Amino acid sequence: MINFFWASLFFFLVGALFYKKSKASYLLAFVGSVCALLVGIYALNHSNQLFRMSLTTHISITLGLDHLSALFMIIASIAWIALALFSVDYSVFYSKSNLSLGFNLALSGMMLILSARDGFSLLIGWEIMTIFAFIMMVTSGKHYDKAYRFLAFGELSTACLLIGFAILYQSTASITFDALTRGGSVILIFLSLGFIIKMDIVPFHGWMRGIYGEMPDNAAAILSGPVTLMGVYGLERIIPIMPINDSWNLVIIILGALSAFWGGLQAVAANKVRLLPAYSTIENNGMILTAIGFYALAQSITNPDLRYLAMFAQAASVIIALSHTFSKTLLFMSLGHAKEAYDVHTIDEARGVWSGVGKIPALGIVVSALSFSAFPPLIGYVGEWMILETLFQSYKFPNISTEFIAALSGVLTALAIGLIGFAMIKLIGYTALGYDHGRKSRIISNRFMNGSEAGMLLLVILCGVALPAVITLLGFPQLLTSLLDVPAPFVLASNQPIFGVISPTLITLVLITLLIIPVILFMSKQKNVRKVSSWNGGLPLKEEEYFTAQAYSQILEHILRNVYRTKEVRTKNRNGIEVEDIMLKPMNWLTRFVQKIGEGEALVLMNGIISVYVTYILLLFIIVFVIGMMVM
Amino acid sequence: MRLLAGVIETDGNEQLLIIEDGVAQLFFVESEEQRKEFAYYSLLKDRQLHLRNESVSGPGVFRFRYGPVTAGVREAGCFNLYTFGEKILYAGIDLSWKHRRVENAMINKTPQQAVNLAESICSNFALSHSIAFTRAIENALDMKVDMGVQNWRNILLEAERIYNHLHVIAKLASAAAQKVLSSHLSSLFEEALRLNEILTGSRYLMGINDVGGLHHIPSLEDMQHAITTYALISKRFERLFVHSVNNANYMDRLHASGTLTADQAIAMGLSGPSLRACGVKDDLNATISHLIQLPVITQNEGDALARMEVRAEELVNSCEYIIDHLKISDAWNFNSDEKIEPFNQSGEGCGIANSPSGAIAYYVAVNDGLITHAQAFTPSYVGMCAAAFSLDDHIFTDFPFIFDSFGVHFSDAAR
Repeated sequence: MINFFWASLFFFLVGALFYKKSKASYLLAFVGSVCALLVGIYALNHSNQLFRMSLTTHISITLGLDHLSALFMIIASIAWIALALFSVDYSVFYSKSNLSLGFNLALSGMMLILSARDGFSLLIGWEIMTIFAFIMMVTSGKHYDKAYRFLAFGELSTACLLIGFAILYQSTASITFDALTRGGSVILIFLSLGFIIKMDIVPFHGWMRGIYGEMPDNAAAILSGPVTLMGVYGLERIIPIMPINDSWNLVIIILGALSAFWGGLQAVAANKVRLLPAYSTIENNGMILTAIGFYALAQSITNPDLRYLAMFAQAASVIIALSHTFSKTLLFMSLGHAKEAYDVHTIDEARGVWSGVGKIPALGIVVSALSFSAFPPLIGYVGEWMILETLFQSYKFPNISTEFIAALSGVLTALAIGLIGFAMIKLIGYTALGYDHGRKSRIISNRFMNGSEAGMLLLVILCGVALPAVITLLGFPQLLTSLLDVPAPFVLASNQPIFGVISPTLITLVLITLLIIPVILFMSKQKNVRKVSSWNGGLPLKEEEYFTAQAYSQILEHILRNVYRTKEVRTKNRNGIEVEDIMLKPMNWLTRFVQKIGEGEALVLMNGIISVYVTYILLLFIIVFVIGMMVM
Repeated sequence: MRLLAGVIETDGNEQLLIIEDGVAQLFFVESEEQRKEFAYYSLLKDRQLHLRNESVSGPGVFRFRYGPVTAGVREAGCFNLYTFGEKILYAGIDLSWKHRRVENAMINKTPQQAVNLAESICSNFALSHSIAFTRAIENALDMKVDMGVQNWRNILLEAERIYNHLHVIAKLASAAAQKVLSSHLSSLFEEALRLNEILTGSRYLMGINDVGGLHHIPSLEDMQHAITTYALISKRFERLFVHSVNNANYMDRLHASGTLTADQAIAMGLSGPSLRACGVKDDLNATISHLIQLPVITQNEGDALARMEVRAEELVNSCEYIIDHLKISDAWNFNSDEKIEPFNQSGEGCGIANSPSGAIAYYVAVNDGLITHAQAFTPSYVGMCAAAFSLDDHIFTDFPFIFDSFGVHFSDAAR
């Protein structure tokens, strides 16, 4: 296992060195990811320490793997494999940039995070991941201002983790994960905040609106899937072992639900190919956060009834994380494929992927979007059913405030699921299944793209169909049972005695029997059917007469105009409506404030007068020195 | 008020057909000032088939083409509605699908043959077209129609107004899903059509009117039946209407929908109920002499509700008008089936009729008993422009209320 771990890091580093040969670089990333997958599979049942190096008496760099890290390594590495393969073809669009350098090193950063056994190692991995994700963002050489916002949020996350581990060190003289069991609430809050920020939970999503549409597709997929997965991993790592804080757990639950709702709401209004899935990430991570909060809350109460619920909530969080990583990777790859083939940015422009670009990217969009829309038997359906079942069982909690917050979160989560369904139908209907207006995409090499998309597509379907295997692999076989004529382990139960059940495997059998086979039989006998265009007032529809994606969601933007701050623009040459994400206002205000401070500073202190500048440097030095002395 | 009913071009000369104090007259254009007096001069001169033919662009904006053959648009017509979803940013109307060049078909026909063509322009306004056309011919050929014929024409015009107003109000009720109300109104509409058939032999009042007279006059028995039926229609309608205006939900759909100010209505050249709903008194009732004067009904709001209220009140007045005339028919109903012969075989003239939706005007030139030039100016043409203008900035749900409240027809507008 150790050898594969180092081999994985080695391939990533060599891949980074070969960034000028981007295809080779991505192929090396692919090999490294496969190694990571093998490490994860092995470590599922074989916890092991990989590396240890003492830096001081109390601080050391320790790497190791246990069941949890192995689980997340498997999830992440599958996404890396798909993205590395996808990038081999995709690299032609960014062949002269250092995109593959960022890709390889970001992956190595994530490897370090997942194998870290102490705060120091974690922070190293965290910084590597953040910095090289930033490098990937700016490969186009443009939009530095927007990318810096990501970096600012990334560093805010690092700062929270740094403070958390600093307080841990102060109170326990150790920064190992084992020491977290002796940590206090303040440490819990700082560390979980650090991870929450990385999950792009509202209001820490402010960086994404401007930059998501501008960065390369594989970078967007990395940021949306594996990078946010690291935040989830962090929470899953610390929450079970840290002291209980019910108030903070309630904050996490409501923050997650609010984030899910807000993500869903903004996804509905998004009209750019990448912005919609980006907001869907916020929605999914919100649900994960709520499930984690619920798990922590249920775990804290010594009631046998809640033990099962705690386990179910934890399983829900991992299942949604898995579903999100796989489905989102597939979605970004398929959309990226279509977007580059058409060379467009908006959903309206990317119409007709099925006929204009290819069936595999179109199917990729359909399957991943259906998974996000909780369409059975896909894995997204399982995850969203589980979070709702978890919240429905809030009545089991002994106090009314918990019940109220859980019920409120349930409402917000249910609304979020509905909204995402609405948004995903827009995405499917316009991009994958929309009319291509006779446009043909540019010819691009797509063998690797198609291969990676097809693989992920099958995985998203299989994870739902073979749910019992997935649940067992994740370590929650107790949740599987039998009911009526459906034998164990094909029934997933949300409680014992049974409260609610699903069986995606059975649904698949029913779908095949009652829908797919009859449809195939029906289609095979359609040889004499005459196909005509649908009736549109007696005339063929022109391109400018097609219902636009913006029009699809306008009714909601009008009804919720106070939430969206919907504004109508009416000028001679430009008409339309504009909506805004009001949660971005504080960040925008802060950005303007910092800019003004910077401009003021430049004007007063860095204006070319040496004496003033030297005084300023001296003053800063004295302040830092005094603070350092106070801390010591 | 002065209403420009039409612009006529003959042999390089331009004439304006202007209705003032109920009198329609032709004026040769001698200065630009004459044209500038009427803001809608170009509209009437160009007689475009694509009304408001501009486009709107922007992110997410698309043209929603409604028609030319689709459920909801009752005739072969097409709306081009620019929108980004729910709101109509700009509405245009394509009349070309219904353009039949009826006026051209009249050339080289005798006036008697051309009457049928005038009637065929728009079935709902068949009688108004027929009367406006025959009046134009009668003026051109210097024919004096007797009082009996004039009165019958006035009565039948009111009969046409009754069934048209019932039709419009039933459509508005139906659009607001007032199913019981619309069913009752449809039943009254059917009653009115059956009565038309009894009086004239045609449910749409076709084939009764002719140049210089009528083809036949209703019998005394039919007149008695008409008195009873119109009294019943009026009574039942009033009861239904009072009941319907107490329905806040229904009123809410009509109120403030498609509002026009008096200035806008005048600037667009509107006439009839759509103009009167803006508080402007027109003098279409004064275009002919009546035995019993009809009051001019107005409302001030200028919206779909005001247009419906004007029609409702006119409907009741028309019923009374017919009943009152028929009750005293002994005093005027004689020799009406005798047609008068034309005094001249050549000439030019204009004629107007107060149709259910406004002024219909005809200009004709006759030479040696054959028509050499014919032009029809219809209320639906300017009404379509006004309807399209009124649709701007409304949502799609308001569409049927706004459009139907104008009581306009593609066939009438496109000719």
